[in-house]
Amino acid sequence: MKLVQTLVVRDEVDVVGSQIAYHLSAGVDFVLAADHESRDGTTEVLESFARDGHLLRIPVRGEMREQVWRTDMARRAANEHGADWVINTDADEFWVPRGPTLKESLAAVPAHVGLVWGLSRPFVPRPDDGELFAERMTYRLASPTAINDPTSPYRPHAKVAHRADPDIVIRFGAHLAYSKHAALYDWFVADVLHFPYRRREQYERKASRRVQDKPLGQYMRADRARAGGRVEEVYGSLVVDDRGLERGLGAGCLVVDERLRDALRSGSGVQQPSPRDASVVAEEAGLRDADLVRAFRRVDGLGARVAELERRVWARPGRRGSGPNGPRESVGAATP
Amino acid sequence: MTIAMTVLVRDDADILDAHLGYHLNAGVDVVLATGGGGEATTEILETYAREGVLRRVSREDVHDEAAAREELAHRAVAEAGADWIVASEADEFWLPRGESFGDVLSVIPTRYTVVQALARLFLPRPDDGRPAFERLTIRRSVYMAGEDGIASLEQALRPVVRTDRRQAGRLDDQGDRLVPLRAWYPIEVLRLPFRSLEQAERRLAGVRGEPPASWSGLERDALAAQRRGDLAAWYAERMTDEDAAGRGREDGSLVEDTRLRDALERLSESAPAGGSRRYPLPSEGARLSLAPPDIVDDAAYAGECAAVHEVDYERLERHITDLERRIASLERRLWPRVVGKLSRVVGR
Repeated sequence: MKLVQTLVVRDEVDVVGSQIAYHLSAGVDFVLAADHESRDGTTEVLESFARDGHLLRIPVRGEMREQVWRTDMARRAANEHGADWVINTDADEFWVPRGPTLKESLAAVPAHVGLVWGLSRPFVPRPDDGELFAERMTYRLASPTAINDPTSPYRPHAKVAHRADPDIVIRFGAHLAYSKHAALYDWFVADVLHFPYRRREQYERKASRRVQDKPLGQYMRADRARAGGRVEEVYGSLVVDDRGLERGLGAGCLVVDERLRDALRSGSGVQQPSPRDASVVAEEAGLRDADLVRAFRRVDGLGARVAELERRVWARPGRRGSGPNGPRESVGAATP
Repeated sequence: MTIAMTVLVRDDADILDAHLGYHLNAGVDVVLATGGGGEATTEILETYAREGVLRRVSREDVHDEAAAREELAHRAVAEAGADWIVASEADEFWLPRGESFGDVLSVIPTRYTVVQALARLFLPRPDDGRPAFERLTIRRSVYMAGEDGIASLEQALRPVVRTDRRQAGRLDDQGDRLVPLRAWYPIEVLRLPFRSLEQAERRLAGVRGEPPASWSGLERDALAAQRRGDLAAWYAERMTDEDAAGRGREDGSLVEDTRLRDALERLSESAPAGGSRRYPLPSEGARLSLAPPDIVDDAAYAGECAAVHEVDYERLERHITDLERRIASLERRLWPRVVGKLSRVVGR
């Protein structure tokens, strides 16, 4: 089996080298990396892996077009690099297999299935003592209920992996893909250990660039803090100090997870498969709940668009009319 | 961004000053108030009006609450340029889960035009002469079920509406084009409906017909008792004394919540020496710093949001079915017209 990894990266020098090295040691055979105008040394890190024959750096410019770039790389993995499977990653994500290795986990997928997912497991930022992020950030969120705050970096999500497909389409964020292959839901091939915020400067830089790419609430908040000269304060409220850690561990919403730290120390990938205990089951259920909420919110948006159409002249009942609308389904309390 | 609060005021002198002082320091830019009550209530309103942070709106019909709300919202947009409208009662304290209303509302994605606030019902406590917000620090847990618990989404959630300038604050015209942020409630509304027996009697006596849909089971129960003529007995029975509070905390049905008390204490302490106000205005140098929740708080709050049960497969199914019916209706309206028009053109 040949396993190819796609990566879209922009100014992530503090993490990108570890990310690529980790995945190569965990079974990835080749990396396709879209380098989006990096200026912080990320390009040089990518080039060093390219020189060793492990990576193809693809410079991309202009506005963020992640869906296009990711789709292009996923297709190139099939057409030009002989991939059997492709995992789609960001620079701050580390795929830890649920089975012994990534390849063995993917090999266990039934032949008719070609789309599977990794469950994102977000790690909380810890005070910056100068150590590598993986040494400091060894606690992650284990909330039994989905945090459906659209401005939170901790909303549950999953990342897609797929069998090679020359016609595949990867959606923005690589949470979904359109493929000729069947999808296997409710079974996760890997935990995706996610380290979105690692230190203050990285938080500020990421937010200021990402808010232009996709104005998510979390980036808007950070950008607003930057404009107001309050980054230190706002980032500080995200950092989990020892007191917060004690509360979180006591409440069970934070857990110790040293898998990446140990893997990076050993340089040989994760040695132990991810356990599938009760907290994992709860988080998987949380992801399903979060997806239901996302679907509901999109239907709300459609409902508003239909309401807008209903007010157009052509949509009003004519003289002979087609009858009034029936009573509306009352949904929620969200009317003033 | 301008945040306006509309308030229907009754005889609320015991809590109105704290209400206005708190919200104006939590990020509300302007208050539009209608109604009134005794002399003390009027005096408080006039005090804030003189500072230019409150507009009094006189209405002939003081009992049509929906019409009053509508007019206040309209004027909030037309006269104050409101971007968001918080429709409050004088006994409600809206607590943003961030540093201020602006901090929370400015980052809500623009596709959402309604943010919902999670209602927190504080229970009557013995009256020892202290202000209500100092005494009323015990509230129901969202997880609590029972006849006084949350029976509907209208009781659990309260809307904060992003205005549509094109509609000039006519919320009935925005109607079903509103897009709510569901399943996460970035504001909490702390409700203190019963603060003393006398105040409860005054409040309930003013209700004509059915109470608002947002009233909790506890308030409906009190209204029924008042109409039966035995409110005093009901009030004594429902009083949450220390023993009841302790039992409730132990079995998880009640929660001690001192956030409002603490915020008002901090605000009061920030009053400049020699000032005439208990709660200074931001223009007087006051700053009410609310503590943003951390990830541990948010994880716990996620459970409470889920307990509201706003989103489930059954509701989604009903929502989609409703959409299908409306789209079918649109199709029936459109195509007969198009065909008719074409027939006329061809027939010429």
